[in-house]
Amino acid sequence: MKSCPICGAPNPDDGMICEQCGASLVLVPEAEGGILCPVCGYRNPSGTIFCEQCGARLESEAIPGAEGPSGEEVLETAEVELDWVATLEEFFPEIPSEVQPSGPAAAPAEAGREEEIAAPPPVEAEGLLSTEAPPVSWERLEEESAPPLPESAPWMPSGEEIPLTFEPERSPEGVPAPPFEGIPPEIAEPWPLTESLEEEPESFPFPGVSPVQEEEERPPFPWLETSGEVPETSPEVSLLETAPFIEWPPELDMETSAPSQVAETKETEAAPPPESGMGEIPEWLRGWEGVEKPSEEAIPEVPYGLFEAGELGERPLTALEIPAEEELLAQASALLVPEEPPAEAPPAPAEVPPFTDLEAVLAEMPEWLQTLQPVPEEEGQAPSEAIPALEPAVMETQGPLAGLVDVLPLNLRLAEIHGPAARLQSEPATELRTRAQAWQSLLGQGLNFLFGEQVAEPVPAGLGAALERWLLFALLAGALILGLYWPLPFFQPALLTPPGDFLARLDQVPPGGIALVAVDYGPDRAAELEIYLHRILERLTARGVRVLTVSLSPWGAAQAALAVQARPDYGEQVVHLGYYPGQEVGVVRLLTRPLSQLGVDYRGQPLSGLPVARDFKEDPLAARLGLVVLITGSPDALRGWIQQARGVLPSEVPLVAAVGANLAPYVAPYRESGQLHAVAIGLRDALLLDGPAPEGSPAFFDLQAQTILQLFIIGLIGVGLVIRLFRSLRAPGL
Amino acid sequence: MFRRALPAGLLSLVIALALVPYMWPQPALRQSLTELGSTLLAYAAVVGFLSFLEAHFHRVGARAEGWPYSLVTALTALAFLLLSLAEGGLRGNGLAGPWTGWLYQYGLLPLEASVGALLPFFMVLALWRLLRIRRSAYVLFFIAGVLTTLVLHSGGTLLPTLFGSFYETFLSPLATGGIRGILIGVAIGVVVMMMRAFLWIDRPLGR
Amino acid sequence: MIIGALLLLFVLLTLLAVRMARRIQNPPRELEPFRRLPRQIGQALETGQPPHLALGSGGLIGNEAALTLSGGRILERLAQDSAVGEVFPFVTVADPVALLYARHVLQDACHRQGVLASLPPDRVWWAGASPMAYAAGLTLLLGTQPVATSIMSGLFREEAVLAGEIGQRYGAHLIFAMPEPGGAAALWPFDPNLAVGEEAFAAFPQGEIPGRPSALLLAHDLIRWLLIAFLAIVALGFALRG
Repeated sequence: MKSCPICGAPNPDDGMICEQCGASLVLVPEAEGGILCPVCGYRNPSGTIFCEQCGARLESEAIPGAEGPSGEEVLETAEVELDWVATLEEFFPEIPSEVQPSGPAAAPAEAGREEEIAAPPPVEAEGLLSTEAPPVSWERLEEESAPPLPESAPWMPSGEEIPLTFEPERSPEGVPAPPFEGIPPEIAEPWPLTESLEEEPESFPFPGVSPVQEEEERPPFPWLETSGEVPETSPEVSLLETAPFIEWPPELDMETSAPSQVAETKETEAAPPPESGMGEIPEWLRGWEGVEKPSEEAIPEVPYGLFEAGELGERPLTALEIPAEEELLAQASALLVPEEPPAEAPPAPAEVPPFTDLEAVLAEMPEWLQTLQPVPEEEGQAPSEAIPALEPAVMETQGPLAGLVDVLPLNLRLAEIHGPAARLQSEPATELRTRAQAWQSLLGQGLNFLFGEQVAEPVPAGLGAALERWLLFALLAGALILGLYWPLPFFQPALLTPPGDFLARLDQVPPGGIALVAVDYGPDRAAELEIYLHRILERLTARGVRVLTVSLSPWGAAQAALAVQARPDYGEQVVHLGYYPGQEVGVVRLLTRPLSQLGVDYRGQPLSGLPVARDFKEDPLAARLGLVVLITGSPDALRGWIQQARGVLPSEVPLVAAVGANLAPYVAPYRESGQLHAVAIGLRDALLLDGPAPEGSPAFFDLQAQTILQLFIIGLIGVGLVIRLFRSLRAPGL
Repeated sequence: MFRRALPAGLLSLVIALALVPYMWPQPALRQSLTELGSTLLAYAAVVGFLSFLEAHFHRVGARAEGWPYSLVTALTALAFLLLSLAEGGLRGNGLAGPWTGWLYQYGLLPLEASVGALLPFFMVLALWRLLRIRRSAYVLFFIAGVLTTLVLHSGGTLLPTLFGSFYETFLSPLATGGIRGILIGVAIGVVVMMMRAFLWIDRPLGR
Repeated sequence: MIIGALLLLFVLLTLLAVRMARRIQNPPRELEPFRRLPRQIGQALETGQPPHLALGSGGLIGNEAALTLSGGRILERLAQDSAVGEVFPFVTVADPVALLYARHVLQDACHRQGVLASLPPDRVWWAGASPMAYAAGLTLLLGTQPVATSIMSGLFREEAVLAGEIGQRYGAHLIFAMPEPGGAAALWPFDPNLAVGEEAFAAFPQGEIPGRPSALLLAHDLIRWLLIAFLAIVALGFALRG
């Protein structure tokens, strides 16, 4: 198991991402060197400006003595970042400060140490206020000691070492560690959620640390203080209990409602955490305790004096008086000299107006800055009244952030535990869910993600669309008329073969036998299937076969009635039984019914009086049949008849079907399996039932028209594909 | 609760009754269920016809858009019904009588055949527009299938001889298999649907 | 016996699918046509144009019953969501039993929303008794009554292309769920993403947990893989024997 560098939670050895906070567990190889992030401790590749883990700025200057990947000494940049941004934040606390003082932030890099800052204590059930020293299992920590700091660093005290780790064992003496700034953006919960939340909301998370009194106002950087007061620290809180990237002075005002204080405290560098009762404060950290501000005499020209409490706004600075940037650099660097912490905690600053007192702040605003205030809309309205009073910010009342105000919302990456302990359910992380959805949408597209989106062209409205439609219809109609009236040279009816096996089955019924013809098509299929009914009836009755017609649908019964009841031999050789309800069940009922119980025909005429039913006795219909013919255009009727009739009919009774062209793929399995003994498909086979169509006959022209239309559609598709190809070549992407 | 469970319970009971004959062959039960279904169908036809008249007369009365069509539709339906009833009552033939037969042969049959004759025109139009779908591989597959079918069935020419054996060997099994696969899928859908209704997971008759 | 064993197996698989759906945390699989439905319902509410649902030629007798019941689920959802704005959907049927069922579903949904009194009596159309007459009736409805969306879910054949053409010409958004290959092939040019086969039965199954996989689709998958394994074994057996 290995621990997360951010939250300290144990993770599997092969884990890539921390299961607790989601931080990456993949490290930059140590052999390549790298830059240690002062906030989260992540080792970044050399040359990185911002930490890959938390986004904190890594370097504002190269640290002399540090080695890059190639082993070359990193050049030192003498630039010292201005802290005038912090000054500006006094008035605009919501502006985030992205500029970190190079000195403290670059201290680890400058030292060139490869040791990492100690992580916050791992997740413990005892709670945040545990007094036990948390185990620090840093597998990545190296044992190398940091080289001494160069003497040329302007802000570095000569002869002093600046420690880079919070571990008391390794800290050099007398050199305070640089404080850290801010909470890394990726980590929202420095303390594990499983920590006990039993303390009172008002209590300070650091045990034994006295919170800053509300009436105290502290500048963002203690070394900016001109009163010489140092924030009071409590010796009871150990640095080991704090996250390395989060540090705020124990005097943090937990009850203040000013968001600026939160921003200030996040960027507080100089205030060391109080010493805990469980471990000694490292010596380098002690130096920060009670650090004395440089006196005004030491920095007589520092303009910060103008911003001292109570002095703001007394005299506006002119342009000539505003110090140059270089002077500010030098003066600011002098303020960064770490000093020995006082033996006793410095007294709290007195009479520091709270930052929430906007009016006081505005009153102290220099005149040159007051000109930038918005002009009140109404006369007589004081500028302070035009600006609405700051509303008290929301203060956290639970957890380790208790007492803090305007804290960022909890990172959604952390799962919440619901339900009883026996059945915990955790919501998937938002990133994982998004990733899953992305994969799902990608896979759901099928070939689309390779070939692009399928977009059907909407029907264009207007004259163009109507002309296109009518032209297409006219061409179709022209092809049809051409085929119906003019014999074309390329059409050879001799190439068409009639359905021989179907005709053979029709001729197999002995004379006097009984054939059942099921008519299950409606008026829409009549044009295609009516021919089958007439020609089958003709062929069977010509050989003396008696034919019974029946239908499972009212439409089929009506359709058969038109063809059958008009025949002159109706009643002698042909009878129409009409509509037989029940679908598949009706098939079984009909076939198993005794012939004598068939009753009446479609017109209500009793069958017993008809010559066709002269020998209808008690034997079931299935036993007397010599052939069953299905004429249908419906796949349901085809399936129903085949599946039900085959279970009732004797095996020697053939079952043949004459179907429309749309049923061609449906009949193939039945034909190949032998359930259907013969099949005739479509208008073509119907026209060829009487043999090859002689030239000039109606059947000839019907067949020719059908072929012409098919060829026309083939040509139309070819033209369309050419147009499509031409357009895609001319405009790629279409 | 009983009122809410009654439709689902009845449906489950009917499903079980319909499945019993497959496991315990009882022709009488199956026939009874079939006749019950036919009776319900006839009743539903009567009620449906009355509902049909109500809907169209409502549109006529409210002068809704297209109300003349509704008026013609409703009056035609009523006329045909009265004619059939009269023929059945006077001649005893019902739908097999000469009057209704004449209307079917010279009215309904030509109208449906005419509507059916429009199908190839609109199908070709849809096929023509299909060629405009941008960047789709499925369009090419569909067009290839249509072309293959047209070529193979363009009898009377030499085209079918070009692909005959190829079609029989490769394309026919694929086409047939595809159709059967879809039909098996339909059967799966039907089975799951009725199982869920039987187990009260789905309540198609209301909750 | 085989049928009984198969039925028992299907029951177990259906229950297993329900249980699996509650435990699996994968994102739910959605079908493209039905994924568009809620948005179309919203568009209908915004424009005031009612949606249209065609239940096909099937009734409640035989295997068509499942198709009609599946369409009834869509109707229930349409009615529930659009009744809020009193934009009641049009329903067209070709079977009298389906007509009664559609009226029951529509009235039940409106009653639950409390807008039963506002439901016009002409919302359920018996458009025609035969499939071709039904297609002609669909064409009449879509031509005379502007609809925002035309949903065709049920038993359709090639004549559905007429309704699709008219719907597209009048600007209605078309959604198809065609179990039969014939209707699917005819309507594919209008919407390549139409639901075919068992997908047509997967519209808004009841009892589904939002954010979790559909138990209905899982049941389809389980039975499908079972059939595939069975067919593969049989084919292998025939191949080895032959």
